[in-house]
Amino acid sequence: MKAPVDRVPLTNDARAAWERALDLWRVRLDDPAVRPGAADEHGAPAWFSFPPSVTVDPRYLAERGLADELWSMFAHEIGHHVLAPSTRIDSLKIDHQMAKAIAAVSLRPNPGEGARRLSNLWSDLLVNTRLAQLQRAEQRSAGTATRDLGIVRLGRALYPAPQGSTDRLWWVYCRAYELLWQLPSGTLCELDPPPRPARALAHTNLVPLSRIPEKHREKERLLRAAQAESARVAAELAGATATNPAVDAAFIADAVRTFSTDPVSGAARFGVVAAPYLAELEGAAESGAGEPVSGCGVDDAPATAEELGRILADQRLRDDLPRHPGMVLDPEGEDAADDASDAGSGKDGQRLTIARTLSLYRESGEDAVLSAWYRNEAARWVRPYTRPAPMRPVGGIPGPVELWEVGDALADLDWPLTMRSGTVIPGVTTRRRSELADEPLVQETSLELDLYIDSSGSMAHPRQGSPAVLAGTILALSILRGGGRVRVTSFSGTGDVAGMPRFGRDPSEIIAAISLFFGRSTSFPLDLYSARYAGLPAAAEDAPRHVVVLSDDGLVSMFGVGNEPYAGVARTVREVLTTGTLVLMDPRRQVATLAERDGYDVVYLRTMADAPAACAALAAALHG
Amino acid sequence: MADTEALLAAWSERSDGEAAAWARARPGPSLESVATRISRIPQEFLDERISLRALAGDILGGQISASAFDEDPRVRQGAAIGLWLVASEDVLEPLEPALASGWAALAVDALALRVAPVASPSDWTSDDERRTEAARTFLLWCGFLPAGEDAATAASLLAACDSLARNRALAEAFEGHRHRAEIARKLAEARRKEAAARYSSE
Repeated sequence: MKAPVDRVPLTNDARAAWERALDLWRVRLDDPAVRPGAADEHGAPAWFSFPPSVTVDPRYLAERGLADELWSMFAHEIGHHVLAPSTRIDSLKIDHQMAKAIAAVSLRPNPGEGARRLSNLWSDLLVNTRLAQLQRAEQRSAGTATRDLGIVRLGRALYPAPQGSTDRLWWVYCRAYELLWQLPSGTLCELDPPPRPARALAHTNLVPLSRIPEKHREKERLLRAAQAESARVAAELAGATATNPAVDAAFIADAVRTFSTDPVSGAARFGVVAAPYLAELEGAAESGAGEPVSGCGVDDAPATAEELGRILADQRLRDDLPRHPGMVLDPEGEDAADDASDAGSGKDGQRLTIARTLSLYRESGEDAVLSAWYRNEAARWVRPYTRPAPMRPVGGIPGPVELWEVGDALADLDWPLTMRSGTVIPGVTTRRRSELADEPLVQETSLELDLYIDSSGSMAHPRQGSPAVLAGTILALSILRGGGRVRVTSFSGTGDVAGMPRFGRDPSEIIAAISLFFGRSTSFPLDLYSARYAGLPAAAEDAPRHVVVLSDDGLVSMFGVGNEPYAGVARTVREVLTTGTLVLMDPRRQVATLAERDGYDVVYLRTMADAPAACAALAAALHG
Repeated sequence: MADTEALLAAWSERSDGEAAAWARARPGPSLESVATRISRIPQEFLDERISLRALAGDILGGQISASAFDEDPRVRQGAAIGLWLVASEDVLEPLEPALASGWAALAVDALALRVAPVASPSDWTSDDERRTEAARTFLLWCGFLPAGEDAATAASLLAACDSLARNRALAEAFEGHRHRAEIARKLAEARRKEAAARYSSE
């Protein structure tokens, strides 16, 4: 690797330019790094990074006769710190919105790169549009024609695509600038957009029918006919473009005007319009797919677990994608197009599923992504789970007057009442006010939950969306919200037991234990269960013991099936518990009789969507 | 309410074509000054009890073609805004150069018959782009180019915000999307059939 180009001190001119750019946005920032010649290795003449810093290559501008626009270049980079994306979290959120939009139209498993490109374009659009307004209003630029404003000059010099470019998205992007900056068409891009890329035809080699066994031949023929038909329709769909550059440029200009101060929300709108252009390239024979990412955001560090949590928790990112503005004929009127569009596109494609989230945040590590995802899914169902505290009588209601006797506390003596009789004779005229008990206060207090979760191969892997993990997360977080403590034990085959040695309140530790996955056979850790509870006295009313087991039909092992030496453990332990509940994915109800025999309650769970209801049932059981 | 097509037809009869208008246009007041005046229209001008004929007679001293369609609220309001622009030179101060030195009646008709049918005049005061469109159209037919722009630039910028072209493009885009959604539905159906045709070779 080449050594990075050295940073040189700011010249007087550069400092003046920097000060002017800062004044324009009315902010203060640390001095920029000036690295002449760095553009070659970086691919862009200037860039910004977090924590806020700006790097510029003045030589790149000087070579293009734009040395006097150094201040506009500075102002552009500062704009990224002020307006869009402004913070690292927002930058990640914009990426996320773009990935969502791409995922809705594209088949590519990893939307990451395209998402980064779209977010760069979107941030640049917002910054440059605002920058042009600021420069127009600046005293020193008074009376300058729009096309001679600093940022517009830069744009005119740097944006036009090379002759014969086939990048349609770039055309749309440049056209949007023409609309936003009020430049005559043809200034930044050709008058007409480049043609659509030709589609590469996928052809599959089929085994000749004669080689298919006789008995399957008819079925195979029907299958192939159906496949050919669906391939034909798929090709037709690919041909029916969702892109219309001239109109889309106007939509993007609208989005920039509407969302000029909310880059994260606007990103969804921009993404919906721009993503089809990336999808269109995908179909093309591996051509210009690798367009250079000429943006100036360079922050490539993956999102940390904490950042992931904040990203996934943002309500703006949880909303469905907006409809393509081209689908809305009359924005104020009734959405007559509703049925025409939604039935076909389906809402499923719009949600960022676990798999998509995992691939988008591949570099953040699977565990971090999984726990952030489940935590976020669980978040809206989490509410404090508590139990009634033992009744505590409270005083406070004044009762009848009583005699104060010599042995009583001096402070209890009620002087005004005593003095009413005129003389103070202790034990005779001394009075005190008695106090009656009020109704006992009903108070709620926290719970302790011992949670066992089955991570055997028969359970869904957390990566594929596990109802048990979701239910466990809701449950654990709800107990924590109520102030309680949780102990999680994940089990699979013999010896595959992991989790927390004692009750705790650290959500990341708890969720890590819940989403742990062994993927082997099922054998409930009866030895551990017995060691934890055997010999304890029955649960007292003020210290209830609750056990919840999340599992499937393999849980017969808990009742000694296949583990006969420990056959009685479940029943013995149940006697010292307050509640014992099994949350089962057991459509054939195989565990029901055994559970009933040993006194365990059962709640059934089938899909992710059932998890909140199952947890609500548990909340009632735990509350008592 | 009159038919949009009828209004546009009335306009093409009234005007002598856009090319001629661009050819005779000379440098005029700035776009911002006209756009600002549009926003400052007094409520009285928009009052529907006011007769358009009387208003035009008072301000222009003659009649405008739009009067024939004064039962259409869009035309009424569009014409009223145009008339206000002319009247504002007396009420506020003349623009530089004065609008009165151009084809004011034609410009009022342009707003009423060309712009109002495709972009509701109530948007002209609330939506920046529509206001720009109205101001540019008014200047053009009054015989002016916005200050600091040449004919080619002005023509291109007016075309970029033209509601008529925009509505057509939107309708076309909508048709494209609708068509695509239709095919997507067919594809889902075809995929279902394909899945049903799968068989086990056991």
